[in-house]
Amino acid sequence: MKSRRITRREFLKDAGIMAGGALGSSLLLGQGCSSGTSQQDGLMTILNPEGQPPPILLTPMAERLDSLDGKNIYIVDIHFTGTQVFLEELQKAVQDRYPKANILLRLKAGAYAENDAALWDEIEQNGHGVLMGVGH
Amino acid sequence: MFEKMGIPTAPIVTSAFSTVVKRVALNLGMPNMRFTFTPHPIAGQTEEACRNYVQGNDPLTGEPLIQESADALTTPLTEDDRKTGMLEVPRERLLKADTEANLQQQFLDNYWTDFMTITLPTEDRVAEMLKGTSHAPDEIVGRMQASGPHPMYSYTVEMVATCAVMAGARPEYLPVILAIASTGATSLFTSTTSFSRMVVVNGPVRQELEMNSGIGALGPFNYANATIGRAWTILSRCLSRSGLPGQNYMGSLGNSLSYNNLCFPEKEERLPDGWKPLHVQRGYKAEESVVSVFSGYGIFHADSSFIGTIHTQIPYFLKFNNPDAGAFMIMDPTLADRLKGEGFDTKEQLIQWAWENTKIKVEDYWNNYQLVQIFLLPRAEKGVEPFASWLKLPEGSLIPQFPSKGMINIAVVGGETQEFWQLADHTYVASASVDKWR
Repeated sequence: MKSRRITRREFLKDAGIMAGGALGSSLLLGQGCSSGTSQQDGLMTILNPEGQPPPILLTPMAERLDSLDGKNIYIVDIHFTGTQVFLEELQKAVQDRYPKANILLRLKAGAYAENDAALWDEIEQNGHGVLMGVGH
Repeated sequence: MFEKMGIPTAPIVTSAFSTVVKRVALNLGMPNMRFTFTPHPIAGQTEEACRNYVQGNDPLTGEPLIQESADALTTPLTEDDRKTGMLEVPRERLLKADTEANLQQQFLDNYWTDFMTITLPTEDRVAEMLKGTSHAPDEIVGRMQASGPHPMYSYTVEMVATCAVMAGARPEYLPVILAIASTGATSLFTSTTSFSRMVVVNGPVRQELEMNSGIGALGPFNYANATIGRAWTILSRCLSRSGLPGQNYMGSLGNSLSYNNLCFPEKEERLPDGWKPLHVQRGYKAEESVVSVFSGYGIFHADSSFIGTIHTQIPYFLKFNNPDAGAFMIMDPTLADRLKGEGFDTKEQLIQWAWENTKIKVEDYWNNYQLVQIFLLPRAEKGVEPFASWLKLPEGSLIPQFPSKGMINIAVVGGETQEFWQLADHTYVASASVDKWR
């Protein structure tokens, strides 16, 4: 597998975790770090306080459909309390908009973060696309 | 998951989570995942409001929501969408040299602090801190993540020592801080609720470090209690990049307990005869030094009347706790003495009694707690016991407030100025040996 390094700036920018004030500064990690003595020339050299993030394994997305016509599109309700009404409305609206598609609403068993192996199997066997939602 | 099965997927998310889910997608290796966003919140909205949302636009892109979702399934992939390979994220050991003022600002800008002044971790200071342990600086201590979907960071002894310096800890505290870090539990857990953590220290190390288990043990009255508790938050934020608001910390209110994480030692010397220290209850030997970490939300004063027995008042207060959280009784030694006198020869007897006598009506259980509805009702519907059986009970039936007695814990601490106790809703997460890190 090919491996390439991304810059810390790229990573933080992509992840959206760099504080705004630091994005344009020269204080980012990995830029000319020296192993100098503390307090040299009025400057301090200190340790990076961050842990080591894991590498990211890029995974290709699934090929897209040519259209929704004739396809089984599952709307998966992840089972977050109070959101069922929205998903029912979504099913009606998508079905109205794409009458030749088969829009199937399924309530996932278990709490929102739990797996539902039976439903996953059903979708793997019969599904062509998935709309998944929604929390809060 | 479905994408990996070859099934195109369009996640629909409320707009408050736009940054979170993009970050999660990146960490899962699909940075171009095609999200559609709705107004926030969705939960509890009327049928008409939901219909308007569905027929309306994505508030972030301005695109019609239905069209955008369908396009996510049908628009051909780009070259970027098909990329494979491993992205290594570089980490330098040292920061670029700068002035002290600029470095302090850098730490603030990058959320590397608790927004109070930190001690900058120079090489000399970290080297001095490392004298507190016999372990090699490059030894891996553990792994930690903000919560399930977020990346699992790893960290070494030196990295933990760096955070200990920042928190103002002394070298002799390092084994305790390493033990906390070794649990892998972040003190800044992701949730739209606002968790807090608790760390209880047991064993000889309490006295070696002169931790305070007396007057004001849970307050700002002792250097070790203060800096060890603070170090947990700083190391969580730095070593696992937890606690980034809007990115991987979504606590609506936040929690001021997160500054110190309720760090206190149990006053083992004043436990009533027969009452075991918390770490011994967890299977450690009394002479071992151990940290135990707990997770919950808050803590409140549970009053004790001078009339009647104390133990009969306990269920009155426990019923205020959320059934999906727990109950942690933090009690002064004088109160523990009183309870011993009322016939509770062990902590376990008191826990058993409290569990059996704290009841709730089944309809209140299912109808009045959001956490029960989100996490336990789906389990009940799935057939998980005892929730499935409780769901079948008629209204008016009484069930235990807490599914198991293991959700109730006790620690004895305090200055014996009052038969005082406080009730937290923290449940047990993990324990770790301090001695291992000496």
